[in-house]
Amino acid sequence: MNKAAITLLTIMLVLLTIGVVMLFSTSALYAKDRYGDQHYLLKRQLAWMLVGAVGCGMAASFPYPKLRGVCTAMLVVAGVMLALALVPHIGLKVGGARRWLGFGPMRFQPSELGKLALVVWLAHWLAKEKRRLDRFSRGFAIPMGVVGIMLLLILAEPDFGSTALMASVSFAMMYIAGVRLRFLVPTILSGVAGFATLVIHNPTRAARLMAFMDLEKYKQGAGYQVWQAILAFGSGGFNGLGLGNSLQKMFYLPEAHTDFIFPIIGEELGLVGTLAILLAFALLMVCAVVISLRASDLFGQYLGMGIAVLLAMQALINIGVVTAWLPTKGLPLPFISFGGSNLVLNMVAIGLLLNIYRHGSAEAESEEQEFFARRSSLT
Amino acid sequence: MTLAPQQGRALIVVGALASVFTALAFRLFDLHVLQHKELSALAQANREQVVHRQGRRGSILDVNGNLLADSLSVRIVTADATITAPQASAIAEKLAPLLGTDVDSLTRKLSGQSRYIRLNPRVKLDEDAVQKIRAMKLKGIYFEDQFVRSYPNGPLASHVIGFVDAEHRGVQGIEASMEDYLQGQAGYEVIERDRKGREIRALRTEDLGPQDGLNVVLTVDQVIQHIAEQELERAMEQFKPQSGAIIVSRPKTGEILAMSSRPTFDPTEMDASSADARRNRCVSDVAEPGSTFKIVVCSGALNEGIVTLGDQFDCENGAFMYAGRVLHDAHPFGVLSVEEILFHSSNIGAAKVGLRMGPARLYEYVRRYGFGHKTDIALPGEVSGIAHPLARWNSLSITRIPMGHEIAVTPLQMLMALNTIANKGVRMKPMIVKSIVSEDGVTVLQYQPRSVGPVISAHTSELMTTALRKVVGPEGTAPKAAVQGFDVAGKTGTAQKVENGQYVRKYYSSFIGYFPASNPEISILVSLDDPVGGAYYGGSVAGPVFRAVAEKVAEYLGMVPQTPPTEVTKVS
Repeated sequence: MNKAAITLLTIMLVLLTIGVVMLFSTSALYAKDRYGDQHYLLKRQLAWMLVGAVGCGMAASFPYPKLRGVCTAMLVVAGVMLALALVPHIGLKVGGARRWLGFGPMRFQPSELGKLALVVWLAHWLAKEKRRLDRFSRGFAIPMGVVGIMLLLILAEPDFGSTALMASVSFAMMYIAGVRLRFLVPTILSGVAGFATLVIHNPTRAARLMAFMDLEKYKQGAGYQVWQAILAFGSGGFNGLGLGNSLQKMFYLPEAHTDFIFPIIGEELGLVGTLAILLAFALLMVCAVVISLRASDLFGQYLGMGIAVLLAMQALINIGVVTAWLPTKGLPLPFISFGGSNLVLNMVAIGLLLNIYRHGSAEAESEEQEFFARRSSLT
Repeated sequence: MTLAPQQGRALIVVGALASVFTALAFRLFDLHVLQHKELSALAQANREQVVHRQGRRGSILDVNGNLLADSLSVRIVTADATITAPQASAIAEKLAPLLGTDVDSLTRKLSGQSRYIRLNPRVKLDEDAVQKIRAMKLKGIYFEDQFVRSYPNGPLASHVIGFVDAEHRGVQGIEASMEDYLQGQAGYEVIERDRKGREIRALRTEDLGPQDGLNVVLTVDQVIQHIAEQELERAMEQFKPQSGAIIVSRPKTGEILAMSSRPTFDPTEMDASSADARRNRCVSDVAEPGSTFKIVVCSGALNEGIVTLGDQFDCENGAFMYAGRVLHDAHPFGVLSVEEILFHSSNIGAAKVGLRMGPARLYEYVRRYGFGHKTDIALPGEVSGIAHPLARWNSLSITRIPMGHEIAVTPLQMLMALNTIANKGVRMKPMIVKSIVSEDGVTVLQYQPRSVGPVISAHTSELMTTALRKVVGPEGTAPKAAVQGFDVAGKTGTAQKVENGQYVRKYYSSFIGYFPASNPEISILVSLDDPVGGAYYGGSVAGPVFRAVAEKVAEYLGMVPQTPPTEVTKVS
């Protein structure tokens, strides 16, 4: 294994470790208070991590170009599940949003599957249509249509954060693949405008947006959570209060174990801790890009870069939100926040990167040729 | 290495994301390091709360240790409005019936900004209500033990005891004057709370326990106070004066045994009383004393050797022309001795004694008896009265001041002057606080009787007593003040009142006296301002009240009648 792959794996393991430690530190009080067992959330997260590890291994094991054959089906399945989640009595409604499907005790967010499926499908489509990308229909309308349907399904949950994330990842992939900027830029602009209109008409989001604009004023209302996050960072200082010593986690900062775990890390481990994690994510992105640049086939390159952007954007949006640079959205910090579906998604994504590293050279090329040969024989 | 176009674009994307990473790193540096001080202070202020703990306010006790004012511990409900605000109306609806308040005002309190609100400062909660509220497990609602002031005897001695304000600070009476001893020391804790309001015990930074206040023991005797109040109440009903006062004291020490004013108030129902009723007339109101003041001129003249008790003065048959004005006596008298001037209470006689004495010496005695100065009793609101300096005397003053006009005194000043005569000529400072005692019974401070100095000689005092005894005799102005079994020395006063600069047909009737005359134990002042219904002479209005109080006090104190009944004396 070369440095990029080892570093990638190491960073994931380090982040997972920090995640487990910090999750326990952050959630013990909450879990004890809410479920009567301080290990309640930790156990669940460890269980999901096991699922994620299996997923990661599986994702790394088979030659990744095989994905191209199933990616359309995957996307359809993800789309159907997203649609099902929206149906009352089938989808689970938590906190006003239908984002979950339930399987016994486990809850699962189809949007996480949707994210991965969309990245894989886009990589496949962009690689397949590489010579026709400058055309409007093949290069823009079709992929944009597919992306649009997925985005609308996620937006309908509603999940503004995931929608924005997926939109940015899709646009980044299309830009990298060479889709004309004259198609992309107006779409992005109108997308932003449409998004803004939706936000303004949604009272919760609008309040969050107002709070984002003037945090001081709304610190007891819509801006409470972010304000408490800011206080947590400030309290931590350079060295932090020490592991386990957060005071903000004593119910001042709601959801401290999920989307707002980063401020608690900041409070307990200080600038040293937060910068280390920020650096880890930046390195993770670089490793992912290095691996994908090495891939000999376009699909591998696009898939790897899509995953790199997906992971980096999640981290950036989460940290941007908790430092009050972005309006609040419900996005977790990869590998660290509590939440099963997202953890499994990200671990599978790392698995795919390792797969690209492993099968990225000759094998991929032959697979690609084989794939196209099969296709041409079919037609 | 040459890059394919898509690889180049990928690096642009990566570069863009990397610059966002860098920007966030600066943001983290900004929050963690640059804003550290400010933000951590805010976070701490968020959690921190100073909890004040009240010390128990000391009790006020009578001379025998009976409780006059007490502090009772009650449970009160407090709220942190920053926590209750979102559910203010829901919480208010649950609590209002139990706290006995209305929902609207409670909602307003609960939706404010304050982190500490008392929800039932006045209402006493029973344990049942406390349990019910506790069972609701409302966020931001806490319990606290607090003290409320209680006055077990209601209006008894209310002017002396005084009362406290909502913050438990003494406003009037002993509550105010002894505040420093009574209040104790409030303690406080600086604690940090989690968002659910539970204390994070490990972070308690300051913990200063409260100190209880000290108990104040008065010279006032609850029973004598009760006697005085009862008799004053009876007199108020009978004569319907505008106001009245009774003071009972010990002439030898200046100890006040009872001090009662009318109108009065009940400190347990402050809202029902007017400011007028809360005034302690004994120390805060002045009046021209009238004839009781003749003790000053006569004792002064006797002490200076200017007159003897037997010296004769022509009382002009009731009309004395001096400085262009005619001075009248209530009853016309011919020639009277100084002794007779006192017990017949001749204005003309007193004026002539004053004339013989001269303004300078008369004024000297006015001041020596303490008029025009506060007595410095440990009660707030005392006034010094009016005793004009010589420079402001007019030509008539020398004939008016001896009969208690052109001078204004408080009832307490008048009684203390009489006490001087009763106490062998030595003026005592009035004393109302006997000692300061800690909760566990240790006497912290013992007050001692204090003399201000001799005013007249013991011999003069004996002469005065001889004359004043006759006031209650059959020839005197107050036979109705005579007390069965005791020799009483006293003096009546009937001062015409001045309204708008004119003397009107309203009177200030008083009687001051002490007994047993030979060895005075008790002195009493009775004054009634503007009695209605015909009788207005001090002898016939205040005299009987004096007797009633004196008899009951003597009985209560177990004083042995010293003189056998008059008839028996005659036989033997």
